[in-house]
Amino acid sequence: MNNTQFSDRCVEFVHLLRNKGHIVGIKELIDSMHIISAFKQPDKHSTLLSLRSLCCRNKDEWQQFEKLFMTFWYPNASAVEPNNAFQNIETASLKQQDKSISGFAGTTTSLFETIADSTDYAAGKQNTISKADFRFLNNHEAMREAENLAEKLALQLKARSRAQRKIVMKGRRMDMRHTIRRNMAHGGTPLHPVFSIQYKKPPHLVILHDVSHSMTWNNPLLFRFARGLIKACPESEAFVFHTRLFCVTKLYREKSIQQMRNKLESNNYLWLGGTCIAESLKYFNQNYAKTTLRNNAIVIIISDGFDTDSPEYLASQLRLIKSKSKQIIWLNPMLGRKTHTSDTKTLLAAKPFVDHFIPAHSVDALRSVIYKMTL
Amino acid sequence: MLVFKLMSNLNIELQTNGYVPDSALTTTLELMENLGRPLLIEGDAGVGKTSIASTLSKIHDCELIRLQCYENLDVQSSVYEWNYSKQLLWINSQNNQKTEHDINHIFSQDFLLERPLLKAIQQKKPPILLIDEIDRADEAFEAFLLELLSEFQISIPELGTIKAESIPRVIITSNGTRELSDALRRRCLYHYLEYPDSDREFLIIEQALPNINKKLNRQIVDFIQALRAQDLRKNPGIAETLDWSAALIGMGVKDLVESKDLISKTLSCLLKTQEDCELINNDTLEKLFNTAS
Repeated sequence: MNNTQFSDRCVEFVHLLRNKGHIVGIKELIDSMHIISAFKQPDKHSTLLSLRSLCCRNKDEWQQFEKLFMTFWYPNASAVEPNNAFQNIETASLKQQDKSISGFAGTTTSLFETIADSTDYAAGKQNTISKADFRFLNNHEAMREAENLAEKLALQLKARSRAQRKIVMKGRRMDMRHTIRRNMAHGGTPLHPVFSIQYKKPPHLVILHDVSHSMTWNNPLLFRFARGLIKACPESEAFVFHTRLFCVTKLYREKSIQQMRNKLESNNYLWLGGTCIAESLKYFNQNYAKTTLRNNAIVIIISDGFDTDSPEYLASQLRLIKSKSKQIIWLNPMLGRKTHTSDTKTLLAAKPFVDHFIPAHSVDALRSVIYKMTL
Repeated sequence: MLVFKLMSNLNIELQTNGYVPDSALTTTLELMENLGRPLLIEGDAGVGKTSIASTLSKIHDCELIRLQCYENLDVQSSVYEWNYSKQLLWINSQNNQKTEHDINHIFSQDFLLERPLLKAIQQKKPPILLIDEIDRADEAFEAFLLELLSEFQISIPELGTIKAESIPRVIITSNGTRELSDALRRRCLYHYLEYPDSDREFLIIEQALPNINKKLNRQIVDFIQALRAQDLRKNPGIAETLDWSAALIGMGVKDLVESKDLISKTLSCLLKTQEDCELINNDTLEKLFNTAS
């Protein structure tokens, strides 16, 4: 391979990495080419190790790099076995996913269309829409309106959180720099002290969103609500789960709603099967709890509570989450409906660890979530 | 064009100074040396992230400057602080007439207190700058670090921009308790440090405790590796392994399997939460002993 071909291959490899979500800039590309050419006899192992340090930015990228490297540079070599349990799980989960599912307003969801019936609820005005049960918002326009309301409502959380530090004339902690500057005229004697006060930061939310079959009616709005929460609290994280759990924070931060929808669907994060809440929470505890939970974290579980796992199993996982977070709030669309009941065994098992069970069947019901959060 | 000097003896130097690296870590450290970029090391607590910095400072015979991060860490604690008492004394020692020059003077280098980051860039000989547990600091501090890590300079509003006298070797560690920003990650090389495999752990124990007999060492390693495979909340790190090994040697243990009762009493060196203690019951312990034998 001559120099030009080699450069082209390097560029192609960087493009492949970018497609897989790696953030690789021009600098990394140039450094990569320098590194490879620096080896007198470049071998597979040292090249792989060097490029991995240069082109990876987190644990996930680190763990998938070897596979990408081997696939690209050594396509004829035997496939690299995933070198840890994490990758095995990922591979298995990809195989399991159903590819023909959607869960949004505006997309074709036959289940939604057949179940949501038209009733007396007129969803033309905002106040009516905000009170209407999500199931009965079968009018496309009303649905959109309710989605917007849900997202706006979530953004209200931003108003409850404030900036970090501010200079004020009265307070408890004196700001020496500003005090000296202000009192230069008095020879530095602090006759007019200046203070700084600490403001609360936006809360750190962790959203665990059930996207299984039974939640299909509610999810178009709940997605928008969750997206609003994520936008209001920049440090927050979001996950969706059914029989498996996926991190979707980046998707929720997409500027365009349509893009978010497309990506959720194209990644097959939505599901028309059952729910393994406890198993999904276990996966969360094993893989994400450490990076996302902290003592000021508020965990919001959005689920109807229908679980194929045992209640004891769920309780044990919730106990772990509770031990590492400040508050757990469970949003359950079924709680606001007289005609439906949740799986009481599941909810009873979860009760000791959940601070608030809140109905989530309408925009109005969601309003109380904002005020139940301990900021 | 950059010329890469690959340090073939770095591995040996690390081992000589008490750190047993794997080939991936050696390669990353070589890259860090050649590219002059900060290194971000992530991994579970106790896998040896922090000790890399102290070992490198021994290898390069330079100062190790450590900044331990914590919540609400601010510029005043990490970069610089004005010496307020000195400023006040100086102001009072002057005549009542204050000029513009006086105001500028009290915000000069004479009144500046160096904190770790400023100290690191003002060294003649490049130091090792360890920014430990960056994930504990706030996002605001992380954003502040960007200027330092990309330009190796610090801007002080009253004084201007201070450029580095020499480029420090920067090692940033994170336990992964929160997600770091892409901007910070982009400026660094990355290494994910895992628990050592059994061969490497064997060498680590042998190096730290040269008097240990090989059989006991192998049994300890097998036991620890099997213990980490359990679903523990807090896996034993390298420090715990070394503490336990030292305790066993101190108690005169020659064979792990023959001293089961004694071993179960020393598990407090390895298990750090009540849940983990409950999880490792007699049956589990028996299985672990079987692995070790």
